[in-house]
Order: sequence, then C-alpha cells, then structure tokens
Amino acid sequence: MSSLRIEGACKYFGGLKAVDGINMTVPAGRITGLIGPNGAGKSTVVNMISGVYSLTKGEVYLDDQQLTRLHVDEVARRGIARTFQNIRLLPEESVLDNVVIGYFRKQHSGVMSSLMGLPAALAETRRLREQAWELLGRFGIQAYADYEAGSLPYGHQRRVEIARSIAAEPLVVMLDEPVAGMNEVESAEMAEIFEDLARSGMGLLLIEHNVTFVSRLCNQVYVLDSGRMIAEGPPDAVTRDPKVIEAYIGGKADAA
Amino acid sequence: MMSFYYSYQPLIDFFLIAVGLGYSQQLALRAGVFSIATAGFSALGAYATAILVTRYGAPVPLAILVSAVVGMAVSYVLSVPLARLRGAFQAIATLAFVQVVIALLLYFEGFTGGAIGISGIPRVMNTGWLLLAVLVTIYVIWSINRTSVGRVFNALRQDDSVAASLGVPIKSYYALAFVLSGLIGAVFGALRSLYVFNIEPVDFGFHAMVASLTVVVLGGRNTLLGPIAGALIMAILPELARPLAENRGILNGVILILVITFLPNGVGDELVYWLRRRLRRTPKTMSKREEGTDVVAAD
Repeated sequence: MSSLRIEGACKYFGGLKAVDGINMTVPAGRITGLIGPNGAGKSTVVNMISGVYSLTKGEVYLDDQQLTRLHVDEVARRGIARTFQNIRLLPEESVLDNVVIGYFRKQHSGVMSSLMGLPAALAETRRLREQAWELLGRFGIQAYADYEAGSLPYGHQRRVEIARSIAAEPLVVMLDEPVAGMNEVESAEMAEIFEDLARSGMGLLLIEHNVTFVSRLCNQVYVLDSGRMIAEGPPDAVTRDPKVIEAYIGGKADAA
Repeated sequence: MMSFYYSYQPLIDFFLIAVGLGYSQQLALRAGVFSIATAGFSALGAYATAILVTRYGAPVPLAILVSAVVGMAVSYVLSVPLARLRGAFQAIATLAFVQVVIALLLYFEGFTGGAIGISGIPRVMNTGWLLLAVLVTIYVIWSINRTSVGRVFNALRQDDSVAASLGVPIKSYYALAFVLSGLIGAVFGALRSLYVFNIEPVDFGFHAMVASLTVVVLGGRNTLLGPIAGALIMAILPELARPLAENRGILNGVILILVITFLPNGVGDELVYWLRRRLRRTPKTMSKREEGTDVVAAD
C-alpha cells in the first residue's frame, strides 16, 4: 500500500506563481479529488508529480522514495501513471495497440529477443494483446478494437486513454478530467471502474471540474485556486466552505 | 526465367542494395528520427571494408563485421547530440554528418585514396549473398514489428511524450533506432563496395542521400513492403525512361511529385493499408462493426 505525497511544492514560471507551496496526499486504495476553477494550476500539479515540470521548491514522495528530481519515464516506472487533459493517443495505431503499449512497464522480454523475434518475445506480445482485449471489455469498447484510435468519438478516446494508463497496474494513477465530454450514464460507468480500481488497492487522483462527480466518489478533496490550496477535507465540508464558493462563483461569499 | 535473370542481373543486384539502404533509412524515420544519414553510414561501411580487403588483405567476412561495428559505433556517438534535436533540425544535422564524412574521405588521401577513391576491390558479392542480406534484414524488422521494440518505435514517431509517460526511456530507444539504421546502412555499403570494383566519395554524396530517401518516400515509411516497392520503382524507372536519354531526371521528379500528392504514405504502405481495410470487412469483423453501431445507438 503506497501513498503519494507532495510537500511544500512550488512551481514558478518567471514571476508567475502557478503553484505556490501546496501539500497533498494521495493514499492507496482511495480516490482523492483535486478541484478548482480554470487556471487554478491543477494540470500543473499533475505535470510536477509526473516529472514534466521540475519543482521550483518542495518535494514529491512515493512512500519513502523521493521522486522530485526524476525524469518522466523514471517516475512512470516507479508506478505513477497519468492521463492527459487534452487526450493523447497514438492516432495511427489501433485502439487495441494503444492499450498494449500501456503494458511497457510490465514487459520482461529484452531488446535482443525482440530483434531476433524469439518465441518468448512473440508469446509476450500475444499475452499482452489478450490482456488488452479484456481491458477493452471492462471499458465497454471491445467493438472498436481494430479501429484507428484517432477516428473514435471523444468519449471513447478518453476510455482508451484511461485503459492505457491503468494497463500496467500502477500504484497511483492521476486522471486529468477523465469524464469531460461524457454524459451522466457514461460518467456513472467510469465511476464504477474507478471505485473498482480503488478497491484493488490503487491510489487515484481525480482532477475534475465537475464538483458533483468528485463529491460522490472521493473521500478527500483538495481545492486549488490561483496556485494555492484554499481548502481540503471531506467533500461535503469542502463544498460548503465559503472560500471555495467564492472561488467557484466569484464575488464575496456572503453575497452569494 | 533464367534468361530474364541473366539479362537483368545488375539491375536486380542494385535493386537489392537499394532495398537494404532503404530499410536503413526507413528504420530511422519510423521511429521518429528524421535522419538522412544512411548515405554517410554506407560510405563508412564501404570504405572500411574496401581498405581492409585491398590494403590489409583481411578476409571478407571480417571486413564486413568491422564495417558493421564502425557503423554502429559512429551512429551511437551521433545519436547523443541528435537526441536533443527534433524534426528538420535532425535532418540538417545528419545532412551535415554526410558532408563531413565526404570531406574526410577527400582529405585523408593517403588512407582513403582521396577523390579517386579505392579500386581493385574483389567482386565477391552476387545476387545470392545480397538476397540473403536483404532477407536477414527483413526478418529482423519483421521481428521488431511484432514485438515490444516495434510498439515503442511507433509510439516515438507519433508522440514521444506519451511514450515517456508510460515509462519508455525514450533517449535509449531513439539511439537504438539510429544504431540499427547505422548498422544496416554500413553493412549494405560494405556489400556494395564488394560488388562494384571501385568506390569514390562521390558515390556517397548528395545523390546517394536523395536516392535512399526517395526509396522510402515512394515506397512507404512504415511497412515492410515500403522499401521494396520504392526500390522497385527506382530500378524499373530508368529502364522505361531510356528513350528520354538525358532527361530521365524529369520523369523521376514527376513520379515523386505524383506519389507525394496522391499517395502520401507511399505506394507500398498505401497497398498494405488498403489490404488491411479490405480484410477488416471479413464477416467476423463485420459483426463486430454492427455491435459497434449498436453501442452508438444505445448511447
């Protein structure tokens, strides 16, 4: 059971304090929410944890291991997966192959056995394709397995990306607006999958606009506004916090 | 059949060499490395083998092995600065590499024979050996396509930040693609020098670079059929254009423009994609597709 922690994390772009001294914990087996208005710095936090941005100050830990100065691929190999806010699939590959690449971290066959086409490497590919096929079933998109990923409707592309991110069974997965563009029924299906993943011991960080969706799923919610953490706690307490209402609706809380 | 072979033997042999160099070029491109260094690698391979065989009397297999090692070593060193560049900048850097190789070949006259090059190379290559080399190359690339390395190369070409986010050490895989490209380029350069009696720097200049790039542009960047189709067009075209005599270049240019405009993936790749689309309409996947529409309807 591993938990992801960030402590005193800051990211400055020149004079702009995109993220300014935040603390956050993403425990295993739980769904943690990160909400906030547009431009609050939510995606910046994801990019800081995953190693895309270096931290100006502060540290990132996975249990006792420090992740702060690792490269993107090293962070991923430690078991921290992510999706992207603006969906990034491999557009020319089939839906199935987009998920198969997600197993990279779990592969055992080496480069030489791949170059020589050894039976072990071929068997691994077959096995991963079968696993990917089952995962597509879990996300209800088996019917699209052969299609080019770029040709799928938006909501289905999101599912492919989420499937790819959890394929290698990461310890923690950060989902950047996973149900954007989905209707009620579809996001309820996603919610079910997220709860399953949490039950299996994975830690989930849900970055969302949709406060209702977050409130229903999360035990702990963090609220970010202009790079500062303005509230944290259980969802019903946080959504009643005057500072949060002010950040979302604007103006003074008592006027709202 | 045999008479066809005998009358066209040189054409077939040069076709096989062009296919090999085409795979060297294609391997870099399909992994997202915009390299045009293949001509430089083939020059290194050709000169290493020619010098070892003519001057030191080295056995041919050893000379080819040394060429392979030289190709891999140089491409590995080159991959370090190349990993910091993208797209057109990689093309310019590798173009510079080819020019540097040519300049060095001209400069170290005592060692490389300067502008005159090296002559008297024993002709030990024949269609059989060249075919074997092409088949081994095809086998390796076919293996890559069916396993993890091929998946990573495809991911690098389409979006390397996605590959990194999934744990792929992208610099190592860019280097791997480039080293394989260097290896294949150098080996086919060596085989070529063992076929043509004499080599000179001009054989590996701008013309050679455009030729191996053309094979991939005409044939295709991603599929195994690509370089074969491209090299086939390049081999047949001069024969068909014989009546045009001096103006053959015009036909080359016209064909290139037509292919880029109407078959941007290349003749070979388009053919493979077309076949795949046809196969997807088999009854089994047809039912899958109908399920797909049901899902949409249910939404």
